[in-house]
Amino acid sequence: MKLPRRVPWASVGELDEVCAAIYADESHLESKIFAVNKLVAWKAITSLPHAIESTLSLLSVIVQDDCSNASSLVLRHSYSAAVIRMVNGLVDPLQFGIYARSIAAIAVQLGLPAWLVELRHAATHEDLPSLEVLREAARQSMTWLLHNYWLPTLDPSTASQPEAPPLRPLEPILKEYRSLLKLTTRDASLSKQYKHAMTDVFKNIEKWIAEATVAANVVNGGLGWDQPDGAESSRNAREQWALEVFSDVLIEKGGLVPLSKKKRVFPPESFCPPENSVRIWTPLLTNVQALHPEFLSILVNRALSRLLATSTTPLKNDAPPDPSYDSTLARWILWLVDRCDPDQSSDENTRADIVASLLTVLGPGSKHLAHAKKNLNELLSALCTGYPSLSSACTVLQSSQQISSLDWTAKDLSVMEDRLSVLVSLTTENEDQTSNVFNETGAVSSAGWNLLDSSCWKPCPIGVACAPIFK
Amino acid sequence: MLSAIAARKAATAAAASGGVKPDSYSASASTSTVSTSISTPITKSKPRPTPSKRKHSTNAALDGSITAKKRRRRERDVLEKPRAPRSRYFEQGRPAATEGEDGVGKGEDDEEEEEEDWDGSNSDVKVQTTATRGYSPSRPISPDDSSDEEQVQNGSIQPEPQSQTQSQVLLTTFVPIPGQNTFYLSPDELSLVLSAEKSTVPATLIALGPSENLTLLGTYRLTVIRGSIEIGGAILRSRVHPETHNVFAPRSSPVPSIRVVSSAPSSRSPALFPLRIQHEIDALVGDPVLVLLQELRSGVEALGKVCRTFDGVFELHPRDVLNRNRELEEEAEDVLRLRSVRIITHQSKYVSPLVIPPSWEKALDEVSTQNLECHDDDDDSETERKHPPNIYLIKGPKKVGKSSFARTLVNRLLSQHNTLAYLDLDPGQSEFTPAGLIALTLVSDPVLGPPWTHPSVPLRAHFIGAFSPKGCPGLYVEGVRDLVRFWGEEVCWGGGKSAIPLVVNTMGWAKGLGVDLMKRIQDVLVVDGVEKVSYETCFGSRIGSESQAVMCVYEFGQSENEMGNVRQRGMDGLPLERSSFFGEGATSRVDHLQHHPPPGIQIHNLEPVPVAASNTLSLLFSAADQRTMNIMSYFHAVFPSSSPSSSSYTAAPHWDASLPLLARPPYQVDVGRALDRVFLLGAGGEVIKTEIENVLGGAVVALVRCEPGTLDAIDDNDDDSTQGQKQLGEVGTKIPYFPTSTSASSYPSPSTSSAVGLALVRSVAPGGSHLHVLTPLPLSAILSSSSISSGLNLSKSLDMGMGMGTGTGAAGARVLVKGEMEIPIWGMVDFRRLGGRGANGGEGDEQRDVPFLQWEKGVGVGAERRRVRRNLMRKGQGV
Repeated sequence: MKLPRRVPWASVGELDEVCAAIYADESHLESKIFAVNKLVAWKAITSLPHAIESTLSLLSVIVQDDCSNASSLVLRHSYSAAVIRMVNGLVDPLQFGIYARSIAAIAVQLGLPAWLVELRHAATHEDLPSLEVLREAARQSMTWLLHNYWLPTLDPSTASQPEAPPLRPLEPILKEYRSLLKLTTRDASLSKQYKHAMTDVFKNIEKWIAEATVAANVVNGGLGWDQPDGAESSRNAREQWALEVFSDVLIEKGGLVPLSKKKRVFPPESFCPPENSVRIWTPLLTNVQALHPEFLSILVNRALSRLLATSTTPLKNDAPPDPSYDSTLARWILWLVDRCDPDQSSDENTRADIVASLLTVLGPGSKHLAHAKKNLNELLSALCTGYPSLSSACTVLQSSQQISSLDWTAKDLSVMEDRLSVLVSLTTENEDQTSNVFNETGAVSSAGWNLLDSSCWKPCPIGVACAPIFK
Repeated sequence: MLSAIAARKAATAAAASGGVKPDSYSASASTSTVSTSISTPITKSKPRPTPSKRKHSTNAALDGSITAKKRRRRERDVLEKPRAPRSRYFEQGRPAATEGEDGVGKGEDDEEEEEEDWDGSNSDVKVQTTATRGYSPSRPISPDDSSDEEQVQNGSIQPEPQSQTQSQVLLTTFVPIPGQNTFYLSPDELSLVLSAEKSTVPATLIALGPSENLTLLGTYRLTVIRGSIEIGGAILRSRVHPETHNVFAPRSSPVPSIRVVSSAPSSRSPALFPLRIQHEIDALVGDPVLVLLQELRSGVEALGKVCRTFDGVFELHPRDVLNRNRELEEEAEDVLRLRSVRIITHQSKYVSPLVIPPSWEKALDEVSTQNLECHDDDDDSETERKHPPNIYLIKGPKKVGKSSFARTLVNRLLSQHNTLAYLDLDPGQSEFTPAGLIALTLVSDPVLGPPWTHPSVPLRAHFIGAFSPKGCPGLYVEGVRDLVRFWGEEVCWGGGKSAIPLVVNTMGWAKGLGVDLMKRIQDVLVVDGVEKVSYETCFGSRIGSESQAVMCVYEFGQSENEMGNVRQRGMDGLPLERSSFFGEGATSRVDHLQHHPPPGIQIHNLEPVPVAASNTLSLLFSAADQRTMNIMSYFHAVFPSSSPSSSSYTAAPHWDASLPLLARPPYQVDVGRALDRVFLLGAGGEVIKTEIENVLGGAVVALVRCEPGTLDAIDDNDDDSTQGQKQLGEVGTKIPYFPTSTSASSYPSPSTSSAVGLALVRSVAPGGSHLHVLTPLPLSAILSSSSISSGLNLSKSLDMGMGMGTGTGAAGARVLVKGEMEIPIWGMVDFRRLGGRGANGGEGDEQRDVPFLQWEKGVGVGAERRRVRRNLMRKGQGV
């Protein structure tokens, strides 16, 4: 369920007015003072978004610089504090992952000028910068905020998606990981030697995921779900996107599925992926799963969608069908689902989800290639073994292959109506609200407190000013 | 970020077993070992909706917060499972990732800036006293707030087997059998039994055997007809005039059980029973305890619609409904025939019972024996003031169960005293008042339910304005001093014969400013409380006083690691500091308690609440959620309009949640006639006068009653510019708000003012002539000139001091004070249009255009509020 956020402005017009006042010409000091007062009042109403708060702090120092005779040292301290807080506040929420990424790296992804980050560092740890540098920094920060917050907020449609630096590719990291693991699985004594390299690779992957999570913001259109507006959920959405990109790369040939077809050799008795692949990829999967608990389910879902996509697309010229790829992928799916341990009281059952999707896809009317269907059926039966409820569901749903198309008769309509009435009666009725009428009739009006009743007052949103009603 | 914590721990585990795994590869080629070593850390995770797949079931996931909480819960499973590798890891002697494990806490949780706390007790790894990472200049340092995390002191570790046996303990051993130990009463019969007027609510009479207990989920009214039972720490006995208590038991808090204490009827006259069941009752074997249960129709369930986090919290969780053993429990549930109640037999993930650990029992028993001794002497009516009242102080870090213990202590004390005073010093998690206030409340009925089920009007309170006093410690300490003084002077002898003891609940702020505040509070209690009352006792009583007021300090223990070091350190386990916020030396009077407790102060060490119980609940319902619910419950409560003379604590008997706040007709307040002054606390003091109307619109304010003449004293301190403002008349707005040019905020001094309660200023008329105000307080409370005279003989001077000089209409709460706290977002939306569970936000355009609310996600960089990570590691740290 979506909840709104409280904002201190009544309409975007008010925000526009304040923005115009803030970025008014250099000489219009009164408009800046008006803007400062307005923003201070907004801050007392509710907590402001970080960008507005940074604007307020920078603006108040600028005003102080212009109109009062504060000493240079005081001004430098004020400017420094404002710049430091601004950069920190922009970068801190984007520190995803367990290790800190450098502020400079995140700033690059945000589009913040690099010298501002250096200035922040200098102001925090080294000598206080000079007034001239700080004034320039304040000016540039204000401009940056204008382009990156105020303008997009005031007019979301014209917000041009900033050109984000593209994500650095993941493949080299995975390649390195693969080679490392090949060495260690073949010769276990080398594992100690390569332990550091392994941890480095893991850290690298974590960093890549964190970078992708930050970049997910920029690709905002991709996050299409209805999420309530909150840092936690937006962070979840971003992480999900990043993990999905990660999964997509893993699913490619060369990842979980070996590149060469010769290596796609399956153990005969069970529906398992090639042993080599399992050995190679298990540490990575374990690691990432430990850090991101939804990873396995995301991977499974992506793999499944990929599998279904490849099996339903008609023969394309450029991509010849690759049955061994599909079967390997199917086996990986089963292996992954087996690893998703449901608790005692499982909230959602990945296995049941996948079975359901497969059943819908395999239902009558699907256009699948023959080998793909066989593959999917094998996967389905493998998923259901050991789960009697699922297998019974499968048999029930799959046996209804022969649906003879009946014509609608009049009786059918009455049957449908009966069913509808049954369903309707099952819905829970709302409890009868015992509405207690306010019994404060005859309130003491002489003291100035009057209870209004519904005859002279209509419901309106909180905060909207309304004219007094005189009886 | 909790997954980061889990990550680190699992990473350490993985690193430990990373050295092991390749061996296992070479040792056995079978995949079984590989799979076992993998399956431990990987747990079930929730699948995300994929576009082409079937519709995501929106059953349980109401909003992102629950999703996050599920994640967090799984994190804890991750933490608890790989135990073996972790012990190995420590045996290798590598230093623990102390920095990461210590600096825990995630700040991104709620929309509020207050950090959500991390169970210090959940870091169930024993941190050996390895060198913590020294001061790091780049570590983000921000002031801790009251819900601060423990960095050094981890809660005591609960061994796993204990939690497992708890889950098998039957919560209800009473098996209701209609006709044998369960009888249904019609309203006529009910009035016969209770010897009261008719009520329309159905009732069930049950007979409990000697060692039976019964756990009920929901709301009910409880009357003991014969025998005595214990519930939630309160011992309820049968009386000549049966007393009925309201019990609220939602699954968002531990659920109390009804336990049999003794079956001897303590009242002489047996209760009357209708003939048809008289035979069965006489035929009952043993001496059963007879308890009458009735439905409680208070409207509290409707509060779940207002704040959706608590929707359906008085019923079983849907998962429990699915999982229950259908044959057995379905029948049992309907047996009681009470609509608002369900019997709970087993603990589940969603329902946990109220557990009183043994050290608490010991402490409570000591309290009982102490009080019994002094009560024996009370028969002699001459010795009116023989024994002075006691102070009971409860302190400790957070999440140890202080509030639960406070509630059980209050309940236990109420079996010996008629009334007691509860001083709540935690503005973030108040017991009887909404958040933002520190208050002194009189309690005379047992407290049986979470804080939001008994909102009440305090006897005397002060508005702090925020959920933590970190912004205004001076005001906080002044307020505390005033409340303790008020108790010492006015309240503690108010009961006539028996004294009214004081129970003090404090914040769980264990470091930094919190420690200093705690020291100040203890000093205030000792000086203004214990010593003053003892002094007055010996002064006033005719009999020589060997009796002295006693302050019992209940301190929640720390982990076993720290206990050995406690002697060398201060009481809090930290080295004694040389200086404190308040500038004095470190040695407060109560400092060397461990070595030489001064007379009159007893210290009891208590163990914290078992971890398993508090974990799941705090995941689903965080402290911030409970606070939100507290505020919303307060605003929807219906207080009785006239304080009845019999009960001294005006708890709201029912709630009205039929209309959202924005649809309720407000009070129209004439500013010129009803308001004297408006204050903005804290940073709000910088707001200029012309903006005050915007600031007040939609604001939560406290209605404060100031003693006449004191406001002028504040005015005298302002400088000339504001004086001129007032004299020249209003500048643009009629609202009496006068910011000082020094922008230091002024506030009504706590020693001469008292807050009555909270109100929501819905809107301000342009020009400031009128306000539209919503408040649940009855007008009599707002406009009266004295505090609620609650059947006590408050000293006459108090009443007269307030009443004199009031003239016509100058009485009552005429000052508005606004602090940092805001109305929760639940209060600003129309819950009728939010849709049922699983509805998306697409309610149509009319919802979108509501002013002051933004439904879309913020666009642009920096559009969210700030959020700080305190557990970030650097490259060289951790693994």
